[in-house]
Amino acid sequence: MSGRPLTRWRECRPELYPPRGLALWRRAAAVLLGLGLFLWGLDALEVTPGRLIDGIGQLGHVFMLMMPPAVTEHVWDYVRAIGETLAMAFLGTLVASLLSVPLALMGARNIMPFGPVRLLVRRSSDVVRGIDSLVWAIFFVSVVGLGPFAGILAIAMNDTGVLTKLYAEAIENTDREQVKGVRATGAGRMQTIGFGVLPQVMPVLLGNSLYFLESNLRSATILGVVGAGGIGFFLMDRLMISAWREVSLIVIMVLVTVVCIDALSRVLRGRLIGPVGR
Amino acid sequence: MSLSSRCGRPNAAGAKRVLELRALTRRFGNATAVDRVSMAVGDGEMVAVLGRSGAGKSTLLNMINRLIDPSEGEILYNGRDISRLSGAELLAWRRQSAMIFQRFNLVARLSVLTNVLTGRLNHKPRLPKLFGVFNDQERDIAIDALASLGMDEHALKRADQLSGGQQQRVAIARALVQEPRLILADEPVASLDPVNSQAVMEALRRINQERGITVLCNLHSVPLARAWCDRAIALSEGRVIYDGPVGGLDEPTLLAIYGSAAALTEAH
Amino acid sequence: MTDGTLGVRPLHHPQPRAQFARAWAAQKRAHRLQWLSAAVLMMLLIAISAWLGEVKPALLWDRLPRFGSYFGRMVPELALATLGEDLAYWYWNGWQWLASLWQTVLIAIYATLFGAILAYVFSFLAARNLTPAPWVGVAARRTLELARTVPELVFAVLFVFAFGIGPLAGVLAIGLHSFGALGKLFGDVAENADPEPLRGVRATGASWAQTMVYGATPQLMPDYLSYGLMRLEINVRAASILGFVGAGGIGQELYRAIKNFDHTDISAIALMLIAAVMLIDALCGWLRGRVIGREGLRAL
Repeated sequence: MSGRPLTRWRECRPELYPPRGLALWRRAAAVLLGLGLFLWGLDALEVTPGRLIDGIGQLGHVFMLMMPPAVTEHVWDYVRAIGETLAMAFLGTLVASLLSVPLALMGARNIMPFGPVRLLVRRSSDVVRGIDSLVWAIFFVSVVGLGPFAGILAIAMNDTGVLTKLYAEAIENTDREQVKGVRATGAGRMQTIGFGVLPQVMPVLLGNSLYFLESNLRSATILGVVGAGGIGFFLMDRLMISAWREVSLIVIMVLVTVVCIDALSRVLRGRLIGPVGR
Repeated sequence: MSLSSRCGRPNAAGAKRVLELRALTRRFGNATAVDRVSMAVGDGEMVAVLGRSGAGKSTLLNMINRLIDPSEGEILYNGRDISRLSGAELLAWRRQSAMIFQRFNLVARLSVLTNVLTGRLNHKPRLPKLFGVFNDQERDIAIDALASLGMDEHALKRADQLSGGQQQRVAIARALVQEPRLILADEPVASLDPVNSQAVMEALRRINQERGITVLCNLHSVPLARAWCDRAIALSEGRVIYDGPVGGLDEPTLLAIYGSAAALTEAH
Repeated sequence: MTDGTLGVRPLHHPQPRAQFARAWAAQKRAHRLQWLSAAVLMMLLIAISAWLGEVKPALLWDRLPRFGSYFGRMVPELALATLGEDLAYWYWNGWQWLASLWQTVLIAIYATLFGAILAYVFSFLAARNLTPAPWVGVAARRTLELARTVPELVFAVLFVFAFGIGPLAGVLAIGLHSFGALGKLFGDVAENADPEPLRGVRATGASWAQTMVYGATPQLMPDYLSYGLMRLEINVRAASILGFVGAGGIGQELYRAIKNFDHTDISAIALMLIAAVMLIDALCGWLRGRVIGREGLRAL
């Protein structure tokens, strides 16, 4: 720079420098502890480098076997199954979205003053959420029998739990000022909710529902494993008999479907946020 | 600040020309932002670049730093063609041509000290810096720079906790630690109040005089140019319409630069 | 402008009111048409889906009592007098289940960790405003899509085949899927990054990687951490069923209980699982609150 000797600031402003001495040892110890915990966990999970290397080799072998995808006469079965899967995801999401709105309103602090009701709603949605849709599917299969109807109910059940919590949080986060503004015009409780709260959360709700459609499509693809309809049954079946080339066909078909729905969802979300998010 | 240092040293007409722009052009689609600009800047000069907004000042400076690439023309520094550099040489050039921005362009969540340290990213050693590790010597350099601008006591504050004038001084410190040959200031005081503008321009002038670093300064205000710079270059619609000492900025010239009496009053 | 005027246009555009009213009415008509066609489309979709999905509301209504009996069989016999023994009987395999549950949580934690770190790196490759080259962006986005579209269960079966039965397959399956899901979320956040700090760092001569670390990461980190914690919650649920296919965790026990119709076992395990999930959710929620509240990294 200017050629003059550099000031050593370390003595007068030590807080601007990395720690030395005792503080350094403490930091090193913390890092080592973290590393130790990390490795202990890996051991508990039976992860060894040997297994990893062997497994990757095996994977490569399987990928070879998967090419090229085999277009057999079963293709039409697969197409119908994917149609079922789409229907499951769509209806499941729809039902859950509709059910969650009133439930979320009942679970939101700024709408529902009665603590116990709120608590009931939030805790039950936690329970419902905690159980994976696959488990719900098993349950519903034993109630309404095999087929996609059980899948729809399973997705609807799980999603209602998730969306209720999400929507309730969104509602609780609404801008109080806007709501007060509506209140000030003399609006009753219902009107306040309809004009003050809902317009604010609508874009969030709709955007989330579309995002969940994408996500549900992915979960719906495996519900067939337990007989709840959709492509999952074929997928698992072919996997179990190691018909790799058919497996890759099914996976590709699912991929294409999901990519299309994702694109659609993105377009819709863009158009929704546009006019609604003024 | 005594008047003599404010008015600066006499026009360095005999100074070695280090920065040369030859027919520099930049087009965006059908629009030409910078149109065959040719100019030369001497070593250690402090040059004001004037013009209305949209006249091409920012684009010009961004091209010199190579944040934007020119469509046509050449930029030469000490005879070296800057406009065709790439890879490590390009990064080295960016380090040598430090930029100061109108909105400071600091990283809001990082501390003042870390922001200044980012000016050392292109200096060796490079790898540890990816993980936030700077050696003591570099910290010394950074704190020295902050101290020279009176900002060292704020070293651990988050950058967005500072006022505009303070942030710009941190940005200047960042530029300093790059050990640049050239400082490109793109409307450095446009977002600041008069008091802070004074402080920042004074800092730039001091750096220019004490360290001999060439400064190119986009300014929106003619009085600022007159007060702090040796020379002025004026752009209008991407073309150079004035290139000479600040003293030569008379009424008709200014009218040509700003186009109308109303715009001219605004620039005062 | 040197046309002699001051270059100021009059504020009022004299437009006949009738013209305006007509334009507005036309816009409203177009708007209503849009809404109507959307509604019709929706009805159509619902009808098709109901047919494909074999929706039989009547059936559901009929079978509602089965709900009750199913749950009834799952409730264990608990008498206040013999509560201790009854609980011990209900949770006869409690310690084993607890160990499996712990393994499930571990699987979720490691999977989220690996997935998130990889996703962090990929987010900068995939984000259209940050990627070093357009083809890199495309390749990164396609990779992420592939990783998150294939269901975790499918990865799990593949990995059990390749790496053997056990939690390793589960960690890899969930980790890979999380990498895809988080990569997309991170990328979306990154595409909305403030460009000014990035330019500021780039202008110092920083390399692409350095610019990402200093210019992008600080502003994105709170959102990344928040999404990462959300993913952890989801992954615990996912890990709980991977045992169905032998990829470790409590899923194996649950599957066995379901297959053998050990209804009280199902309720015992399900309860433990729900409790664990609620605990993790609460923990993650608290952490996320701290992250968004504290808003950012401390001084380096």
